[in-house]
Amino acid sequence: LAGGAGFTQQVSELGREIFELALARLEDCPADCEESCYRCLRGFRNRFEHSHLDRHLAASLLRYLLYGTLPTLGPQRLERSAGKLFEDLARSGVEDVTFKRNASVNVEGIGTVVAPILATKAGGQRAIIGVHGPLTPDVAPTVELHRVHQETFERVKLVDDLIVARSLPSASREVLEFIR
Amino acid sequence: VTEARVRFDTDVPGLWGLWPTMPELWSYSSLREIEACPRRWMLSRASYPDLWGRHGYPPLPVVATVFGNVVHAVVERITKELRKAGMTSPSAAYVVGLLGSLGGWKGIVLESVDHCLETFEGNPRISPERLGRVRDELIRRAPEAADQIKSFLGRGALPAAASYQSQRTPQDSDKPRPRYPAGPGTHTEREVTSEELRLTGRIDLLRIDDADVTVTDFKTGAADEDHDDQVRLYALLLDLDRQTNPCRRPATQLRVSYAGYERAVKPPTAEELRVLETATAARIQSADSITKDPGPRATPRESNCQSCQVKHLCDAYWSVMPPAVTEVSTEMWFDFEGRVVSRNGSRSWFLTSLGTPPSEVLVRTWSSDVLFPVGQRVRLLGVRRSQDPEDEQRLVISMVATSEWFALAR
Repeated sequence: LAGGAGFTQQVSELGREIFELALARLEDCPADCEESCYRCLRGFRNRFEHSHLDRHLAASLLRYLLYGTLPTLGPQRLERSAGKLFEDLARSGVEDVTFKRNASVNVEGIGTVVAPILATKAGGQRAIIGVHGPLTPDVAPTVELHRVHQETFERVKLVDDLIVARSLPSASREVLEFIR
Repeated sequence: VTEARVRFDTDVPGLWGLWPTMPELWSYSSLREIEACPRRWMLSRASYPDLWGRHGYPPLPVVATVFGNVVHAVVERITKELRKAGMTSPSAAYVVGLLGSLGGWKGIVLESVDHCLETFEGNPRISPERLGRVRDELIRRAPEAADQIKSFLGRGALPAAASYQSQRTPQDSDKPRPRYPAGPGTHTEREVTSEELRLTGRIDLLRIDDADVTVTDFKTGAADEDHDDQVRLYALLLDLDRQTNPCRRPATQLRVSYAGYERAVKPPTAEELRVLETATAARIQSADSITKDPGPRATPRESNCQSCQVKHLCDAYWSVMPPAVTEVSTEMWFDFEGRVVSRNGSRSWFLTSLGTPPSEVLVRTWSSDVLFPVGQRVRLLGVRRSQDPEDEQRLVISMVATSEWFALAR
């Protein structure tokens, strides 16, 4: 960027508006890219970090900083992430555990909830696996699942979306250790 | 405790203490600790009136220990709350309402974290920053704590048996707490004591039904076969505690419960209980004699000294345990004893090691507030061997915010 570090001084003079414009660009990238592109976050100077840039994550953080909105990731993104994790778990070949995707689970006191991934051991013990946004550890993808996680004795494991995206084997290992 | 307490001096100027006297009751852990290193036990439990007004040497918060305390405290709280409400099943809708009203598992765990950390307030050894770091780590592990609590509660802790409602008044607080017979059902954190043997314990989960008396101990750390001894000792206490167990029903099932699984331990037979009783009486007699020794023996070894919180007061540790600074690899953490030579900069000092031949060491402190006394011996705890990029041959030690230092009298 022209001006280098001196550019930061101009940013402060522009005030809140620059952040609102940045948020608009992050949330509505003209190229409608999946994570980042040259129309939103990528540039030549950050070429070594391209794989780490995520406009949705940046937008949720910026929105929180500007308006105090709890950072969230879109349901489609969390669904995609859960699907990826499920496929890896299903491939892991762990004996005496079965994995089921988007299984309906009846939880007494809450009702029927959809488990993004339901792990069931041969002995019948079950655990619900879901994905959480990187900025909101311990917040389940749906209100119902969040209540199951926080207000019942059901075992629920939430895995960081960023770990699923960047290090799928680590995410699967976390789950397998949880349900061991 | 009526014996006169004996005063002792330490190597740290102005720091003197009063040795602890023989405790009224021993526990499994206190017996293990005094047997592992008598001096560590005595120094940890001595009083240091000029340092602070509480009993024992100011402890440092250990994340694993506080984590375990948090899990146990929440298990006890939840069972108490459900028992108060007359709950009979952990899956009833009431549980959902109760947990929701208490802030959900996360809220309950965080409240317990803060409660457990309150005991460190006013501790002269811990800065607010250090306590904050411990809190952050415990918050990070809150989901793990909640899962362990769910797991423990799911292993038969509910439904809880009705408990006796204490009628104690504040004036009763210094009297021994009365114990009442443990009836059918499950009891958490149940105290069992033998006044005759002078041994006490708290059973994490005691379950009594027509067929069995089951003793379970919850463990939040790694599996260890030594834990089996603890539940065997609880079986003995249950056998001897006529207030809790007036019918003298023997423990028929012993379990050590970890986060992921439970291990069954063979309960002692009646004959084995008598053998255990005799052996425990001998251990207690031996532990008693240690408390009367004004020069308690130290047993410096890796397993004892690694987590010792009073090692800066223990000559035996410094004479054999810390490695020579020249043998420590870069980035390794260790303890160092040396003599202060001179100040180098606002946050760096020259010291010499006490080995032969002595080595000159540059110590970098984390703050300019660290003022070593020139010419005196100092002990540095939890420091890191570093490297000087401009002089690879120079021996450099870095202190961080959690490092401690103590100047010695000579």
